[in-house]
Amino acid sequence: MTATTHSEGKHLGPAQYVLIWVALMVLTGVTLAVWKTNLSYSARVVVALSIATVKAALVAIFFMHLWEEKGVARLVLVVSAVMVTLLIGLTIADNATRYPFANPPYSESWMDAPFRKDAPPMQAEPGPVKTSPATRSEHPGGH
Amino acid sequence: MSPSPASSPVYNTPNYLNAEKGVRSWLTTLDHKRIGVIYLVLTLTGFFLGGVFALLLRLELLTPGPTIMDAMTYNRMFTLHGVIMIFLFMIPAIPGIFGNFFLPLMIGAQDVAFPRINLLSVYLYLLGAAIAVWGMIHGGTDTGWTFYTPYSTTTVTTVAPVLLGAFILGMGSIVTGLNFIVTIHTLRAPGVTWMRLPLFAWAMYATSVIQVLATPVLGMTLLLVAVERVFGFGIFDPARGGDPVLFQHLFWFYSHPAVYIMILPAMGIVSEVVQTFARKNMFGYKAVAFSSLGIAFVGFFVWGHHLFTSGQSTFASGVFGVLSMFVGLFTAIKVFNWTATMYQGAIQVSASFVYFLGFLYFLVFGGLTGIALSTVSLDVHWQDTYFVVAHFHFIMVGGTIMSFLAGLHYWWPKMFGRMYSERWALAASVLVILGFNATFIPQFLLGNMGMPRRYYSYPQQFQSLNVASTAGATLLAFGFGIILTYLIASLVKGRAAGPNPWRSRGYEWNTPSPPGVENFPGTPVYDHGPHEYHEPVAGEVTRAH
Amino acid sequence: MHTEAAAQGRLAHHFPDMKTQEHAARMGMWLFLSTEILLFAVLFTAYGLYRFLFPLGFEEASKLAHVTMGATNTVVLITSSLTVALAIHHARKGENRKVVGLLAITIAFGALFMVLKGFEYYHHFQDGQLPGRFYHYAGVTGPGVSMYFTVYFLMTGLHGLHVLIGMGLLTWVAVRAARGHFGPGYSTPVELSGLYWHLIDLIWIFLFPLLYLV
Repeated sequence: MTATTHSEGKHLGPAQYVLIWVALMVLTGVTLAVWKTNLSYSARVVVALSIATVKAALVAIFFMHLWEEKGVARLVLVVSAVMVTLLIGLTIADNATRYPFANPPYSESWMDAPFRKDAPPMQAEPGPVKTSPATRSEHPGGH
Repeated sequence: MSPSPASSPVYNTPNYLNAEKGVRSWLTTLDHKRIGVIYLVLTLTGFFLGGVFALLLRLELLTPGPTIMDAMTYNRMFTLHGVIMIFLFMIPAIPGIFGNFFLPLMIGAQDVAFPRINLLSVYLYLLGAAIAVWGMIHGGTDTGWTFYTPYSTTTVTTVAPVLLGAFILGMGSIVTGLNFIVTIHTLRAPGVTWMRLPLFAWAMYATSVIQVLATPVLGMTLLLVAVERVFGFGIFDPARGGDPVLFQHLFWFYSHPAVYIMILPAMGIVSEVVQTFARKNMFGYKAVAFSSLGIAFVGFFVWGHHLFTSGQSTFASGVFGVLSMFVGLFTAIKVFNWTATMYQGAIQVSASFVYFLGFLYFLVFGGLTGIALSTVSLDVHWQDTYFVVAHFHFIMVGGTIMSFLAGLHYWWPKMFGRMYSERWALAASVLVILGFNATFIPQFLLGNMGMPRRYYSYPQQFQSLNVASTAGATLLAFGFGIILTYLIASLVKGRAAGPNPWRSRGYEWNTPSPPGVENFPGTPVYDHGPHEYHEPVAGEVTRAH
Repeated sequence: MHTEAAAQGRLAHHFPDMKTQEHAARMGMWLFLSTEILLFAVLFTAYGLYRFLFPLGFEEASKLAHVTMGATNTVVLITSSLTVALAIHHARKGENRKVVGLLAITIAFGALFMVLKGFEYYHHFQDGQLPGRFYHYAGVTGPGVSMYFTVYFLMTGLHGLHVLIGMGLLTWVAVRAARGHFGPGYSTPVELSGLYWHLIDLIWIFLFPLLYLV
């Protein structure tokens, strides 16, 4: 009738859980270490997100017992991930390919609109992103 | 199985309706059948409430200028009509009534997987409905059921309670879907393999997947609008760098799959009805079963076709437009299979069958206009006109409501043990179908001529079609009134139905009418699929007396 | 073992056996977790979109996030995931006292998480690094900077709310463990609330790099 999807006797023991924990700590450390290197911004983003995905997989498969729980649970997680990717991906794809002035004002594609230089100046332009060094260095916990 | 004599007493024997008495037993029931009946009462109340607002709208549209209300009231009316119809009827009705009542019966189970959560869904429905309707009436919400930003974030009318109400209703929807998925996975009786699952169950499974995955997105999105109204963070405000169209992306990511929540259960009912009344097993069972999953899946990829004229990029619009056409593929698979099922079948004409025929015609017609609308260059002309209004009413009323009526008439004898007047039912079905045509075909013409939707006034030359549409709506309302009357009358003086008045071989007919508190004595074991009519069964009566 | 559970009255009348009932409970929990994932997906979409639209603004604004506290919180949550996984392990063996202890540690870690988050919020409030129209920190200005903080507070706020709910769930389960409810035939409440706690950790695993690092 119903398939046995939860097998007994294959549970992980405490030692294995601690091992996974160590792996997760190491990966967290790697993420922080890579962040401080001189790799390009996009490279660091890719590395950080890839490591996050691996960590998430470890938690899901071992801590959440997905490797023992065959069947619907895995499907549920995978399908949810697909839907999330779909939502984020297609939404960004829309804004990425829009007529530039259809994006929020002063966003990057809006600023890069080819005809902006011919447009009359706006009343209260916010100006570029500015960081004043003096205020930033008093800040604990920053980079 | 053989039907019992028509004269057997109905309510002298204990059944789920009379086993326990008193309001308290109903308010605390864990019986999925009682919960189905509660949903019947609640959602039909919602339906008639939404219908009242529809009639008021159509009355207003009798003349180009003000007729019975002012412009602001008109906006409030269509908001009420939309929110009530969609969240209080279209989404919860078929799953709540027929899903709850018949899913366990169809798979040989004693109840759904989580009966207490089932009861919780009823209270979530009540709470959400009360808050939303109170909010709209008390505060005069005029955003339309789509709550587009920036109007919804800045309007002075009340919005937050309606959003909260919708959020709570959404939780009820999620919980129902979750329950059904687990029920179908874990509670099938021995012999009910996946490939013998009744097609209504397949449809409910696909619907439940959508409910679970899509509804949270709506909940969070509406919550963001509420947060925006209360705190003004500017997440959708261009002055803060926000994009109002982001709301539309998030809203329609749910609301497009939501329309498949509305139509898939209806398609499931139709599959059951056509097999019974053509007395033939479904042609292409696997195709119909998997096409339900296909519709659920593809339905998630197409939401951008609601954003064609919002400023969305032409690239994205093109992608969404093409993907939207794939849904037509799966629907067509079903339409061909339903039709092929009728071929060389032994047709038994009944009200359910007439509604099925109406469903088929309206689904095809409405669906074709949907494919046309998914063509970006055409939608630019039709967007926000009555063409779109007619399209979705063809599917939602012509499709879902016809199927709902088919299912209601099909399963009424099982649920209540009584037969209604077949003559009145057939007359009402014809009236409803004619009334529907008269209401909405003029709206296609109006939309194509350019009459915008949600507009309180219109140019003089559109009046005759508007009058025709209102006349049709009145006919439709009259038809619904007749249906309500004879159904209630049947509860009082209808003749006893017996276990199987339609001589159906669906699994759920393997119970008394009405069923007992316990669905089955012990666990049933099945050695055949449902609706297998090609082999004779000893003692079965195959022709009507 | 299964008859013991039935004798304790835990087997519902519509389930054929405890194994199916527990399988159904886990399946139901996973479906509920997927709804939580889709709930957060809305905020991740807003984050993704606005980061795409305002890359410079987000990059500069994210430097104001407290990486040390965020990293500490990551360690805290991952460790709490370990302790709750161990709690489930011991619940299955019926060692209820160990379960109470491990759950208590988990809840304590959750509380520590909230305290550190509180410090972060306090510093941001002090410096005027607030969402949307309330933003008035002069150190970093420009398009997208205030939107970063809108998204930051919404995402960490919703996540923090879920941490609180998780702590509540675990407290209730710990009380039941103190009463000796769990054993080889019945540990479902521990497993289900453990799953919820792990999800909170999962979401933070993505929140941390996205909000604090990139």
